[in-house]
Amino acid sequence: MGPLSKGNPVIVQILGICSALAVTAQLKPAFVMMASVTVVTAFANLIMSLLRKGVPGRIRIIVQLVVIAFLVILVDQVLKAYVYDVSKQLSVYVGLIITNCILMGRVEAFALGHKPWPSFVDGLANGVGYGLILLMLGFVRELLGSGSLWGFRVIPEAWYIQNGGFYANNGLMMLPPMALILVGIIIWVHRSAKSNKDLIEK
Amino acid sequence: MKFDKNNNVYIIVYSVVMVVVVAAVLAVAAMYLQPIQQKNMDVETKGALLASVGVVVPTEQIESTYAETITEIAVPVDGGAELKLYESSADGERLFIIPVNGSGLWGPVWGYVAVEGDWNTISGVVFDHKGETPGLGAEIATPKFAGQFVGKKLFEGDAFVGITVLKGAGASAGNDHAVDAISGGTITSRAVETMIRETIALYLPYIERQKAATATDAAAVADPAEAAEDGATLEGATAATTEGATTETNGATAADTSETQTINTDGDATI
Repeated sequence: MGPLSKGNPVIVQILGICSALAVTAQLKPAFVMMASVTVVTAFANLIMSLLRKGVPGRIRIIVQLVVIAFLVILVDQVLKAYVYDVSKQLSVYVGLIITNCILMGRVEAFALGHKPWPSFVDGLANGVGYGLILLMLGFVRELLGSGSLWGFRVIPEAWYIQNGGFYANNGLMMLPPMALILVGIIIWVHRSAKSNKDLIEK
Repeated sequence: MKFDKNNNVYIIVYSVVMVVVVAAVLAVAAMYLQPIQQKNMDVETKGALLASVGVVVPTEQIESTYAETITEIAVPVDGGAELKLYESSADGERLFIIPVNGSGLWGPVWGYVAVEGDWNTISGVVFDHKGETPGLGAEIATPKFAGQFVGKKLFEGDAFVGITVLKGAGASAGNDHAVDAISGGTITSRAVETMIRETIALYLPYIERQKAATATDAAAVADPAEAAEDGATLEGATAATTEGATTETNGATAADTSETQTINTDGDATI
């Protein structure tokens, strides 16, 4: 449970913020990003854990980079083939998974010292922990920024001011800075919970 | 003797094997996924072609709509090569789409310019790019930039001038041959200008032939008085083509059904 809450990569370790801000304007890209990152962390951890006995210590960072880059290219190719429009929205951020600190961090800190199965689960959990925050951001931003969820309209058209209603989309929600503010709010709420008091620095 | 993992030979062999394995797997994956990706890109191109003539449909309908509205024309040029040209019949209006391409600041830029039957007035454009700077050069792909081109003219009289991109907001106001550049995206904006001028220049011989055919046709069909007017200047003939053609539709519509090889006659017959 660690990586989902107390060790959450985004809101506790503050890693992977860049992509968390960039791809969460809508729920669907956020979900695809979550899936991609989860697959890559899980398999990067698994592969590195399998290789850990044979990797020469002096080039281990390079080996990690090759493994991660390999998985990311594979994911990118698959996305381009099967969810082309989403892959266009994600644009460079799929490629930038390579530089996402969560991956290198987990591989270096965990997979190199543990057996394959725990490493795989650790990668999976970290990917999901990262994705949960993405989904929260995507949910709030798409709902308040475009009045829809997963591309489906949630807020009725008739409510809008231009249609004689009283409602307007919040344009700020569509912009990355708002995502940063939302991340801040999530961190605040998360740290306020009783069980997480120990995360607050004295 | 304990095996030394930091031995140079081991490191080199390890790296080589790793790289070869990774390359092999990626190559197989790329080969397998290529056709599907290619199809996606084709659909995107077709979508862009449709968008340039103002037809926007959901992704699933692009293929069928494309098949209904757009036909490809091969334009022969000197040297045996062929250029691509598209003809659209969206909303019963005949438009020609000229694909253009060039190089921007970071990579290729391309687009589709839809012109009306007079080969002069732009009815819509779509631009796209490989990797121009987001927020600056990448703005050429936005409807705001593309919208500026609607109604602009490619020709001044009979001379091909293309579309110039001018610096400064509103600099192009009232100018039929210019649009406003994107601030901060000067190189990309210039690339658009160059690409339109250079690519369409390749089509000029074909366009001239089509226009000449249209002009003669319009003069022949319109009543004598108008033909005389049209014939006054060569410039006038081109400009009056549309007028003359309209009169013809009202007056003697089916007067000449045999002339099918010329552009405007074709279009008029369907009005």
